Amino acid sequence: MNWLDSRTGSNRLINSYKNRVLPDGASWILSSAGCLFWLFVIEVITGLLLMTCYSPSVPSAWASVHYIDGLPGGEFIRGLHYYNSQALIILFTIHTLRVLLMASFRKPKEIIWITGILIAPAMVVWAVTGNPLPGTLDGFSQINVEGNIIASTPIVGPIFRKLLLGGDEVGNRTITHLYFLHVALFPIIMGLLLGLHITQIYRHSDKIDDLDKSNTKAVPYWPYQSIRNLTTFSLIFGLICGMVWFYGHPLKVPADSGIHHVPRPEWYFIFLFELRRYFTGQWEVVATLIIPGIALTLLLLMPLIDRISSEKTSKVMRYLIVTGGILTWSGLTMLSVLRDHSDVDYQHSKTHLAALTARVNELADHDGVPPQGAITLLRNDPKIQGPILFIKHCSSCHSHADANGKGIIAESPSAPNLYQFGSREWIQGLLDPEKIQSEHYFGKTEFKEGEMAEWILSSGDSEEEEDIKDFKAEMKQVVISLSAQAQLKSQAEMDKKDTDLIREGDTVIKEGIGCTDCHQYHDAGELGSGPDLTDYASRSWMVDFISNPAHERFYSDSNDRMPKFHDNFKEPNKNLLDQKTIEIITDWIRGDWYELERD
Amino acid sequence: MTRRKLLKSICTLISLFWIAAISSPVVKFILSPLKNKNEGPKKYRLVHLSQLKINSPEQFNIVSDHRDAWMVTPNETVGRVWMTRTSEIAENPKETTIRVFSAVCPHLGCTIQSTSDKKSMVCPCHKGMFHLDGEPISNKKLGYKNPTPRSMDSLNYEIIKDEKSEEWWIEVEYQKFKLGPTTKTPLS
Repeated sequence: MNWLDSRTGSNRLINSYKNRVLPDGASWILSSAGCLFWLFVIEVITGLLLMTCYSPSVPSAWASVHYIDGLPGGEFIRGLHYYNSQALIILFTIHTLRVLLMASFRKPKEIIWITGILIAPAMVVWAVTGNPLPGTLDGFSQINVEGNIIASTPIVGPIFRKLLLGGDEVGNRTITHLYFLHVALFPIIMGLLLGLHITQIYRHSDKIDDLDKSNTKAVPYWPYQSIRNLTTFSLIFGLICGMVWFYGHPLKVPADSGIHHVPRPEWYFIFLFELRRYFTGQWEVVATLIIPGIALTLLLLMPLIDRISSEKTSKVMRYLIVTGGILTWSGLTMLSVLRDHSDVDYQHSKTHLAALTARVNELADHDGVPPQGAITLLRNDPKIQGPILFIKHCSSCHSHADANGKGIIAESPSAPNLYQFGSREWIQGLLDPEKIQSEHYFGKTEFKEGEMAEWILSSGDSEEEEDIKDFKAEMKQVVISLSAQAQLKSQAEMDKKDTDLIREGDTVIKEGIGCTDCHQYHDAGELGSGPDLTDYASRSWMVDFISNPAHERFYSDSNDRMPKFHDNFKEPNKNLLDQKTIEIITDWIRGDWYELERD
Repeated sequence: MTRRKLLKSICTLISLFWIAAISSPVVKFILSPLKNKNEGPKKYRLVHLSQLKINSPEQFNIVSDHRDAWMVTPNETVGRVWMTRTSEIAENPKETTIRVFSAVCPHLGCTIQSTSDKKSMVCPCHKGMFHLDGEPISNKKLGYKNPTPRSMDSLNYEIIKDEKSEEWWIEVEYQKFKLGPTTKTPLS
């Protein structure tokens, strides 16, 4: 120890802690300072750990954070970093209010006060620069709106916004900029402010040597105050750990401007969000800049204001500021929260996003994230996009609803209902004389009176009961066999079990009842009059059909009103739909998507 | 001048020289995002005229190569528009009237949505509300201050015939506008 001290003077540092004395005794209320220090240390440690795996770019940010969540202890450390940052904000506010009420900013502690007041907004901004880093929808919307709020500041606003976002829009440079602010610039600023803050505290605190011996209340800081600090810290940090453990902090949906949602700021900013409601248009700057600016200046000047006013006025004023501040903050926050609580749109958006959050994490766990980024996971997910795309592109004619009418009902149904298209039930219905002309199948199409319907209505009629029975049995085989062509996920087990039946059915289709008179089926029949039954309702069959139903393989010239969605290969942009969209719709109709197996 | 004074001034000069020399690239580098020029208006073919719904606003994506710093993503949605056909398709399809608005809210740039009854438009961020013709709904009718500074930004469009397929297309001139001002000003 002496060896080290004679070279570095380290004992001076240790002694300044050891010799510190509290003239009025130790107290619980003073423990906010020490507690904040340790929370700060936790924040730095968890932050450094996260840095080892985080990748700052639009396609990789979300993926890397999802990867962190999958590492041993990763989710816990990220949760700690998140909840701890908010605990810091809350505790620092309490700490500041405490100092304000106790008037601990008086001579010679002005610098301590001023650095403290500067740390407060710096800490909030520090947290704000971290929120968009995981590349979530919430984070990106927040920084986008925050950027536009900055831009509404007269003259310098637009320039600041561009420098912050690294261009006109939130993108890669926004992330690298925020990353720089979050892990480099703000730590340096905070380090300097905090360093000054703490050295000033030690400079102006009482030492054991210059203590009045008659003061019986006085106790050394170490360990009498330290034990209180650590107890408070343990309580608060224990609470944080509990929250991380029980609630966690699931990684929200990755940013995609195509997802409809109702963005809100973090809870500590909701009061500003509410305040903006009352100042619109050119007055907005009052809510975003002038009021917070005045509040901050007032607090910074507190030592000066205190000096020129009497003890009593100062006290009244300080209590007014604290109660006023708390009431304003909580009042505005409450107003906004209550309004959102009864806002159907907002609540809907919240549950919708929660479902998407669960889904995207499932998909990322199962498939991993492709190089284009997590944005593609939900965009290419038939379960999520299927219904949306079907409503947009198909449901003006087709319904997709079960027997009870549950599902998507067409605006004016004028084409077959595609619910469970290709399944045994669906095909059986199509081949049923009583159903083929119903609205569910060909009822509203030109095929109502077509050759197929005619054949179904007329076939199987016979004097002999035996013949009718045989025909019905054959039709059953046809249904099973044809449906097996679709290779539906939901029928995989049945198809496997019925291999023999399917083989027999194949022969019936090819040679038995005359399907191949009009349809092609593998090596039997020819194209040209009815749709190809080879691989009927399979993925590739459906994709090709939707792309061009008037193709020779399908309806040729007899195609009804179904558009060719993708038949221009020379100029792909001129097609109604791109290949990927058609594939997603197909997969959704076929019920083919990844589903997490829950036990 | 003493020798000591001279040495002091030389030290200062050398420091100043290097500060000046290094600050030029430093400042230029920091300000590089300001150089980022916004693309001017660009035309996009969005939909067949016959497919556009009448009197019911529908959202369409502007799809284009999207440049984001060091990355170019092909076929990315770079903007959104709301379109409504307000008349039957005229004998000369060019005379059909349609409304085309940018979906960017002129307040703070969130994406404007249609309300669930499809009778007005709403920005979910700060509840800016618009009539279907893009005009802001009055404060009186809303019961609170409409935060939007102006009506929805209308976009130029043209109804054109594709040479080959003979289909009538709607071609929209998409561009972005400054957020905040009470009149529509293109972002340059």
